[in-house]
Amino acid sequence: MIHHPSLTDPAFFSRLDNLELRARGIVEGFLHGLHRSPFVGFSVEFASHREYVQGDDLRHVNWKLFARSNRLYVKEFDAETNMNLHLLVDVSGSMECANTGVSKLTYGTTLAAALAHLALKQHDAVGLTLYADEVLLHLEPRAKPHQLDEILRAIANTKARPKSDASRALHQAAELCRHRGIVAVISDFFDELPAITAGLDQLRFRQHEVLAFQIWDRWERDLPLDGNICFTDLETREDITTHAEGVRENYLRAVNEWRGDLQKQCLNRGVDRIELTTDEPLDQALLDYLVHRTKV
Amino acid sequence: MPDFLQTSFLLGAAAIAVPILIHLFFRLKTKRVELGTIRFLRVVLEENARRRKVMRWLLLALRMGFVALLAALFARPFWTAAATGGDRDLLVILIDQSATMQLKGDSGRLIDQAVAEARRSIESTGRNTRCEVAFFDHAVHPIGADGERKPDGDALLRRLQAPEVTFGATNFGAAIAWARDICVKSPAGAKRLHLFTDLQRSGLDWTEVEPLPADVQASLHDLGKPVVNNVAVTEVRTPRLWVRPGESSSVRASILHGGAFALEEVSVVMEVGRVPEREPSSTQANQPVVTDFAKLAERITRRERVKLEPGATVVLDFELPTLSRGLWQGRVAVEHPDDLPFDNQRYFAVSATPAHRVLVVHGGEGPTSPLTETYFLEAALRLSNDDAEFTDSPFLPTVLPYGDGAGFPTLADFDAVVLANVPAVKDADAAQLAAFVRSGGGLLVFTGDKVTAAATASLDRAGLTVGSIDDVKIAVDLPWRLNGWDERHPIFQPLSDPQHGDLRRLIFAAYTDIAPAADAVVLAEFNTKAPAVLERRVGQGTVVWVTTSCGREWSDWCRTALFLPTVHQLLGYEVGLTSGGRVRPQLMDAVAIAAGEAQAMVESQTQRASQPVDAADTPGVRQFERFAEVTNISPRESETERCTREEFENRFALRFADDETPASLMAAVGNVELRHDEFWHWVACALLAVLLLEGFVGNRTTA
Repeated sequence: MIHHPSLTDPAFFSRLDNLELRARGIVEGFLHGLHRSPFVGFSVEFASHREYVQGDDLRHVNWKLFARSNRLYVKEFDAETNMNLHLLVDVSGSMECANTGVSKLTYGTTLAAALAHLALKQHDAVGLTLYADEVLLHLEPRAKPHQLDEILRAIANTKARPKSDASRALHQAAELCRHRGIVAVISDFFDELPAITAGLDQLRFRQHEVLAFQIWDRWERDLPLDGNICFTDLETREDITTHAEGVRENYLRAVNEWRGDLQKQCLNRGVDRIELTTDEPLDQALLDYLVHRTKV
Repeated sequence: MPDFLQTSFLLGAAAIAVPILIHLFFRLKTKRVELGTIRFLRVVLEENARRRKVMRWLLLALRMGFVALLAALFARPFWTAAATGGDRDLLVILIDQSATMQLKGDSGRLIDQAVAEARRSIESTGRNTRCEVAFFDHAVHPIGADGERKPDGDALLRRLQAPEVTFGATNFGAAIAWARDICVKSPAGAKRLHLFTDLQRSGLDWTEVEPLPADVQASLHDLGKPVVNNVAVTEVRTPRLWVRPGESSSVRASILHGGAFALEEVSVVMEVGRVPEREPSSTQANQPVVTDFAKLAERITRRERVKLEPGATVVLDFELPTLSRGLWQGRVAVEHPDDLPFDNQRYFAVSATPAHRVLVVHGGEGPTSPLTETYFLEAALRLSNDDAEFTDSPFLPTVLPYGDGAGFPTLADFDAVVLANVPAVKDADAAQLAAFVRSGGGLLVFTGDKVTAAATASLDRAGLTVGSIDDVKIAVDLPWRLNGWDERHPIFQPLSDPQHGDLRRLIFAAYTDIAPAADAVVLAEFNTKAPAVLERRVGQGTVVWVTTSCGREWSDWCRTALFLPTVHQLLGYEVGLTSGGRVRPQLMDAVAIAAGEAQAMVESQTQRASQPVDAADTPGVRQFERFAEVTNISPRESETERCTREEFENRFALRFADDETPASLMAAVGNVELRHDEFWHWVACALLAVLLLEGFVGNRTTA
């Protein structure tokens, strides 16, 4: 389990504030850009009227307004939900890759924070699980406002673990995520494919809607390097020296082949895999989340 | 074998280390990158590890090869000749050693100057240059010829010495032909020819010569002097070389004045004397004897004073006194100091000897009659041949009817013996006859009806037969004819000329069939392929068998016009007349030219066998046992007129380089100009190919 930092650590609070601000900024900016709120639904809390269209439930027609204006309007309500969002964040050593300025871990934790903020804003219960070769920290999903603070504090205190065991860790996480909901796995998934699929199977077995956010460093995906390079493995610290341009073609072929296999396994299990690189904005990730939320 | 002209550029091959250093440098200078996807990289590298290793070494080899080829390109590679033991260049030096090269020049004799310049040329050549050096006059005398190993380097320089005295005539054609053969046989490489000569015009007028190969760079070193003061005896002729004792003769001498100014009262001296009798025990029989003029007997000296105009030839006649028996040798000399003393005298000889005594033996009895076997033979031997220079017959026959029972007389008094259809020669006579032949006497045998195997048993035992004697072959319907003969043999050489008659017209009714012995030579044969004339060497002498009769029993050929010359040739061969007679004048250049052709027939000639072919290397009179040889220099050599360089070039279809260029400089120039055997362009192509391949491999090679 991850140890809790001292509450008097200025760096911790500084990092926390930044992460919260960053998450808020991302979410608010994302919502502001939407023309129509995608998560407005039918609930007990009135939100607005709209014109009736064929197929609308007649129970939601505002008859009084019809009497006054002789036009059919239906009432819309803010959705009330008790959906659970489980954030599973990979903190293994490979997530420390930061060749383009932002590490995958930072990018992933930011994404997790943004999703948590977005979910809590809709009164969803959000939980957090940090894992590497095992589950390092687990927060049960709650919809309380201070849940975000708990999540942010846990994320900010995160440090990568060198080893990775996706099968074991996801299995443990599936055991911990008992309430059905959306499971957002934020990882680079750089592990053996059977281990990953075994973990995803465990999550799917628990009836979770699984979102696989695969975080890439641009250099890992495209290897845009030239010259004699000494490559160091972030988990094993193994060094390989080679000419990048000489191996690029075969490397990309191997990576794409692996991506294709992973995509195929995800599709077979009804898992949506969303690829993100650390130099991309998080809008697409949030939008994907919302789309999946409507399915639940 | 490849070699390089600019070997210093090969030091640039040390730059081969540059690719290695670059490789090591960039290996140390690496950028460190942390990735989480090393496992993909590892898979990729493990997949092609062997291929990449091969490609890496190939790439390194290509880069090192590129540097090596670049160094080789600048070093100007060329092919050397493997056939000459690695020699790449050829330097041919021809030094004129004709008699006129003894002319005094600014620094000694011309031949000495030529040798000195030739030595400098050799010393200035590179170590891989093959040098072929030859002196030439009327023949070519290569240094290191005669089967010796070719000298090289210092050995060649040590052997390159100017001859003390030379008497040869100039023959540029022989020298150019020799040089051409050397150049043609030499593989690719720079070929240079240096000719050191005085450009004597008379040396041009010889046989046609194939031109030098086009890639030969010829240089002319003209050492001659524009004006030469020369007075020469160009010819001495006696109307008869062989006179009877007590007869007289005369000498005609031609005096040439090659100088620019007329000469008054030039003294011309003729001296002649009899050569003392040769002492058989003093020297070997086959070794020539040169008699000093001071030791001549009955010496006579005649002196004439003549006026010589420039370029004119004056003819003088000297009457000889009555000559007693023996060999008379003499000389005509001009007593005038000039630039070329070698041609100031010329030799002659006259033999005052009786006719060759021939013992003609026939198997009949009684005095000679028209029915006698040797009637026509004796008559033919007593007659003189039409083209002989003497009026009397060279033979003095003595007829011996062996059927009377008388034995042979002392054969030492005869030069040759003829047996005509003689049966059953007594053993004592056969033994004497064999001894006579072995000591150098000649034996001519005609067969006939009495000559059978049994009848010639004594001759066979004495070793005087030429094979096994079989039956007599008698023509039934058509007569036998001569079908072929050795046209190069001295007996048949003049008879092979159709203008002298056709031996095929002779017909024979019968002949004695003889199976030739192993050491016998068939000189002529009938149309039945049976031998007609056979020869066999016995000791110093020769036995010649004619397998038909000399009388009219088997043929009427003794009554034809061909009988006399044929018989004279047969007996003349036995006594040495067919090889030149008792006095054989010759010119030194003619001897050299005929030496090769004469070599074949020398083997079958008794007299020539005792005469070395190349004995006549100095002018003079040499006395052999049965003849004398008079050797004089060629009158061509006395003509000191020079040809121009252009005439020489046109004559031999060559083009000289600038003759003002020193030989050493010419040798140096050969390393600067483009050589035809260089292959730098191929190296450049290889360089380009390696460059392209390096790029191709480099783009596909990972570390």
